[in-house]
Amino acid sequence: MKKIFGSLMLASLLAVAASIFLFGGEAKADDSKIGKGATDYQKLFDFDDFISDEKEAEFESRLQALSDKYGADVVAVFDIDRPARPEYNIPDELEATELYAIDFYNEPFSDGGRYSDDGIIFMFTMADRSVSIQSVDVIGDVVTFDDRESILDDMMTDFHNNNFDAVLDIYINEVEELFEGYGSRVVRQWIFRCVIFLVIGLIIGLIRVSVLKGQLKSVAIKTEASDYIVPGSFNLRNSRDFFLYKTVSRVRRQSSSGGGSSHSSGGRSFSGSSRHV
Amino acid sequence: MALLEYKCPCCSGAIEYNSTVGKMKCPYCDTEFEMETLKEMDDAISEDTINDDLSWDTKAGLEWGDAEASGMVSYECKSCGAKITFDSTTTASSCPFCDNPIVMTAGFVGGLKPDFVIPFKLDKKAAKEAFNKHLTGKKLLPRVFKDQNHIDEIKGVYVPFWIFDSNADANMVFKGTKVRRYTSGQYDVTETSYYRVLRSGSMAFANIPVDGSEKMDDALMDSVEPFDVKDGVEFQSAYLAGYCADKYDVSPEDSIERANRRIRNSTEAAFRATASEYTTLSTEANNIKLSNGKTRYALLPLWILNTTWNGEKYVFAMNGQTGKFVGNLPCDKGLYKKFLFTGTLVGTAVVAAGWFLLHFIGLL
Repeated sequence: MKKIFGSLMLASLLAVAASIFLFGGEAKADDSKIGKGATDYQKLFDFDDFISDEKEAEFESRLQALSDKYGADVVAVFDIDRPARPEYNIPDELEATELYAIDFYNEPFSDGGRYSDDGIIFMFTMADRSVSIQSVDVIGDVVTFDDRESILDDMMTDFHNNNFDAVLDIYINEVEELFEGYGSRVVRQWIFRCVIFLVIGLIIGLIRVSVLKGQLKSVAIKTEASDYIVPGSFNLRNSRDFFLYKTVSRVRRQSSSGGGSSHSSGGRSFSGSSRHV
Repeated sequence: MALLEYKCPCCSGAIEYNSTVGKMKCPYCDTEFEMETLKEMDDAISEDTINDDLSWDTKAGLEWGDAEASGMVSYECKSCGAKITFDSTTTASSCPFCDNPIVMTAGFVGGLKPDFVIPFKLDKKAAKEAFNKHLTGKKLLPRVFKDQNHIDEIKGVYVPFWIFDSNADANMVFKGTKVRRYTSGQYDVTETSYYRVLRSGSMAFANIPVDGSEKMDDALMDSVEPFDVKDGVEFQSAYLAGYCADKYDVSPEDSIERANRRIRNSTEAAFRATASEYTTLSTEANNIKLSNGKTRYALLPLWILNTTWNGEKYVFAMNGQTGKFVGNLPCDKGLYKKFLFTGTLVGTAVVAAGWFLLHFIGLL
């Protein structure tokens, strides 16, 4: 048995190594870029002075540096009056915020250029206190639904205190952490996948040998006498069914309300999380 | 101990029952004899039963203890003069030196005469062929076992069986559930309805065989079923010529529990099948009353094959009527590991390839 487990371990290590070599390109130490490359366009939009003046330039600089380092545009928008725009004046406020964020990210600048195909946008609308984070294309794998929910959870206290500097600080810090940890996360994901592949393979192998071993067994005590029932002798004299009681259990479904959603727009795929704050 | 050897009236050779033609046949001059002709011989022999002779020659060895000797009978072959000792429950066999078929009628003395016997339809050659077929296609069977399949012994044995017939009258109470799942708004709803399910009725069982031989493995005997008792004929000792036959050493009273267990399980299964609309069904009460129970004593034909491999004894059995062949085979640990390893590698590769495929076409 030692040999066989040794062989299985060796096979799993080879599988992990091959997978990392083939698919772990994103995790290369000398190449921290996650996206296809960042643009130089403005990253922070503070239309109604939610962010303190002394911090605004610093935040813009941090967002730009973060974008450049990881090759993905990291954008933040603080707005006040989205419902006043007729195209977003729809009953579902969270959906309206999502659409606004997506359009904002896709909208061409005056020179005709657009944000990078890979990026992330944070959108806050004061009018209905709705917030949305949209991951664009590859960044959807880096900042996942759970990550976005976690970021929003961490922001809640500061949102309630209207401390938007802190909110933006959390956004930048947590996105940076996620970008930075993406390489090791990819490796961990691949190791996990390989282990899962191996476990499923082992189960398949065990089923196979069990079937083959079953061919060697043809002797067993018989526990039934169904071969010896006289044909036509079965007579069902009485058959009554009584209803006793009923139980009903309700489990709330995992829904996208206030949570995950996905859209395609401008040739890009957006995956987002939204909620009221 | 009365010993019965059928001598050919034509050539004086030892004649035996031929399962192919269904008659007694002399293997030397090929003369065939009707069973009825030999029945008169049976009758004559039954009037001429001799007592056991349990006095042993102790000059060459030790004395048998009383308990040991009571289980043995000794026989001097009238064909070659060899002295042979048998288990006292053996009623038919052949001389191991000259293969002269013999029937020891004293083996039946004190016991019951079988109600019927199912004669052999298949011969030793068919048993050998079935054994070879049994070994094919088994990937984990040690190759050495297959290549060197030296069968130590192939014996045609009439095994004593108790045949049980009974009517079963049953009252069953089950607790059943019906589960309905649906979605309502933001909720997944599971609605479980509970029912008390009452069923009563009757059914009949016929010809449930339970072997009455302590020596025979119960699982092996169960596995060679079924036998078609329609082929059963009135017992005549001539059928035993050329085969071994065991006298029962497990009483019908001791065997009935095995039949009852099978009847109980099958009765419950039959009534359960009438409530298939339930998602789950658990038995709360199961009362079965048997009536018109009848037991018969029968000798059923089996070919028993023995072989020893790696110090372990392997026993195979073939139903001498239907040809059903059973017997557990050894497993090659090396091949087991090899197949587990290759199965795991192939399984892992297939799962990984499937994942990549689904990933690249965008389904994952």
